[in-house]
Amino acid sequence: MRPRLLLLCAAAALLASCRDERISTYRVPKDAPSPVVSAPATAGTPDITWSLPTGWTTQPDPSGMRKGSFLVSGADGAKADMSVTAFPGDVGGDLPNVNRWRGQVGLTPIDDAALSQTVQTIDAPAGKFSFIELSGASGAKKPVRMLGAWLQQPDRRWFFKLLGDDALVAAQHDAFFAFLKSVSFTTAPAAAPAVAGPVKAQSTNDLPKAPFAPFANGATPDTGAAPAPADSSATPAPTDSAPQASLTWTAPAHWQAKPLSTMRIGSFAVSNDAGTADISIIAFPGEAGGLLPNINRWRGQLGLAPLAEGDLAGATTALDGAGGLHFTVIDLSGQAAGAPAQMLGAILSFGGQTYFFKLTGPDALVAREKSAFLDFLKTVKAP
Amino acid sequence: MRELLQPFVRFFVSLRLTVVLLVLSILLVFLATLDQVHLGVWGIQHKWFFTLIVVESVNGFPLPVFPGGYFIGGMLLINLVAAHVYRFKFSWKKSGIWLAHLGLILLIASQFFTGLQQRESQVQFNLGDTKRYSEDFLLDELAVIDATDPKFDDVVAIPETLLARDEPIQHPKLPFRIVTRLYYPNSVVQMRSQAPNAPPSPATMDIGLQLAVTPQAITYKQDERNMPTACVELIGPEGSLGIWLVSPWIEQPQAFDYAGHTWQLAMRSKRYYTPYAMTLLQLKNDVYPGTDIPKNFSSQVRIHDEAKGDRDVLIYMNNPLRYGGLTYYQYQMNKANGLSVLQVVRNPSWLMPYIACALVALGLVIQFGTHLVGFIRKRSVVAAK
Repeated sequence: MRPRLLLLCAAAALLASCRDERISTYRVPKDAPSPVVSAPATAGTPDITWSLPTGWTTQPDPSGMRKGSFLVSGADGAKADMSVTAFPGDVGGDLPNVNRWRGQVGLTPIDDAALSQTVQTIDAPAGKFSFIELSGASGAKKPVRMLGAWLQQPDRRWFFKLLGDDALVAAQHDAFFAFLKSVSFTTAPAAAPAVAGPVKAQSTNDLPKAPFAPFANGATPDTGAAPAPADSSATPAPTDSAPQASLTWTAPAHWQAKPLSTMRIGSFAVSNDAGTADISIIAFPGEAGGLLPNINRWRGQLGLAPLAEGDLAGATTALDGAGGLHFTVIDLSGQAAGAPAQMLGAILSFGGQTYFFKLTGPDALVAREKSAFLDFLKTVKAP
Repeated sequence: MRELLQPFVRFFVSLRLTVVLLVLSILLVFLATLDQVHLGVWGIQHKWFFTLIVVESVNGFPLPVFPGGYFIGGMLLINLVAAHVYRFKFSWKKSGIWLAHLGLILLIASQFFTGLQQRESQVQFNLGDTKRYSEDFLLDELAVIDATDPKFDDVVAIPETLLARDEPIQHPKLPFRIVTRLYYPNSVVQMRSQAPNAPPSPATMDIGLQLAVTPQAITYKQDERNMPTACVELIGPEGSLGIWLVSPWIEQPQAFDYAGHTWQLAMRSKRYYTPYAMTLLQLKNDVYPGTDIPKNFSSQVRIHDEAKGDRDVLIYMNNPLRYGGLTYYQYQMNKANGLSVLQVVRNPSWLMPYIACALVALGLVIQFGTHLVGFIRKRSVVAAK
């Protein structure tokens, strides 16, 4: 029996010890880029040109994903965001992309049969565009409208999307079509493939591994963690590009830095006996849906009813930071996970991006940290 | 020779050994559960169960403190088999006991094989994404990719554990050797603009120049993961090519040209490729009407298998997909972002516990059934008298 025992032990030790220690080699087809988070097609991308309709202004694209990024402004602060993006292949086909767009305006997915009835074709000099118009509501039940079009080329697909306030976008039909018809392509020599990427997007606070999770505040469905971005097809890590254009800040010494994530460009924690409060800083291109929807999203996280547009001024305070930065600050008390909770939020529009600073936690702790948070906002500096 | 073996045989067939081993296994589970506070559920599995001896580090000195799961399980198995061979003589009357013990042996063996072979990973994709690999929950690897071919990548995947050793790594497929200049098993990587006081970067190439690394304590928490960072120097026959900073924090591979080939470097979650690809077509998050309480999460995926053709399947809670020796469970979902995560489990011996339990049940039914029939017969004979 003994030799058998020894043999068994030796075999177990051998098998157990050599797991996952070897270098492996293999040949695999190159990864197909993802429709939502991948880098745009750069190598050999044809140069695209267009003429801008009146009233459309170019806005910076901090994400680096867009081929074109425009802002359309209307009366009473109405805004719409126009994006032009390109991705290799057919990006999963029509249906997943249309359903992704539908999700962005709060509509339920449709099937293939319904798709063929809603998609129109537009003949333009650059080719046959597929066009779809969607109207729905943003997170704050504000009516929104989207004009979306895509153009399939042999090796890539172009997306053109105008999303914003319902009435404003409805009035931009002609301008949108004129823009599509003005699009033309000139093939440029192949550029070097994109290398050296952005710092990514992940969070050690996510569930195990979520290394490529494009969301940071937990992987549970619809946590409402992310603001309603104007274009979620272009919401990569905010540190993606142009690091020199990002803000800098100095956190109070007693705040502990936490790992950054896809969304977070700053992340801290502060604790006392009552618990731990979380400080997050995130940035989104453009208006990120506007002030009211985002404040109402925050209110929703504390179980508070949404505000109407008219109540906004009374509910927020303005804070002047360093170098002429203007913050809109809000202090909310409510319930989170069944316990009294408080949230201090600040929204800053800078360099074509909207920055969200948020401190959430047990009410006593957040109240104690309020002055530290406001002082912290004053340390935020433009580069 | 026979006399020489006798003491061993007596030792291994004794019921006393069985009792001692059962007590030890109860203690093992208890102590490992306590240790979970320090090491988390993944850590204790390797320290306490998938090992022959539990080793505790006392002042940096490794000290064996307890028999490990493999040792106790192995001894139980030997004890059971030995008792069978030497004690029990086969007869139809005893066939129930035989079957029950055979089931037990199979159960222990299946746990042993599961411990060795089971692998858990995940597929994370957005709507429309096509993936032909899953990623490990815990392990990372340094992928050195020869991306010269326009259609294929030739990958040399180096486990993170090899980078942690202070030894140069050489591989016949690589025209350079890899020397680890810095290694943190867990770290935070920031843009230098966000960490103005960070020490100078050891990296001399690519994005590493713009990044600041802060080491972090290794985490064993179940809901966290270690994010290693390494600085690796590539050294060719004619000297150093430079030092790259690699980390799963950096999403895109870093590319460079060397010896007429285009190379990419990426530290990433360890990948397990499959001979087929999967596309996420649709995801659904149903709630109970009038509430926000989730009722069901489901992902519709298309399997692209060159050998078997395309196939659409729906994976939802408690209804996993079994394909190509792997089981895909709906794991996480974020509908707002169009993201679905499937847990992928490889366990070739997943059927063994079912068979083992069926054998034990059958054995017990036969054993007690035989007794019951005999007893009833005896009673009816007595009654007839």
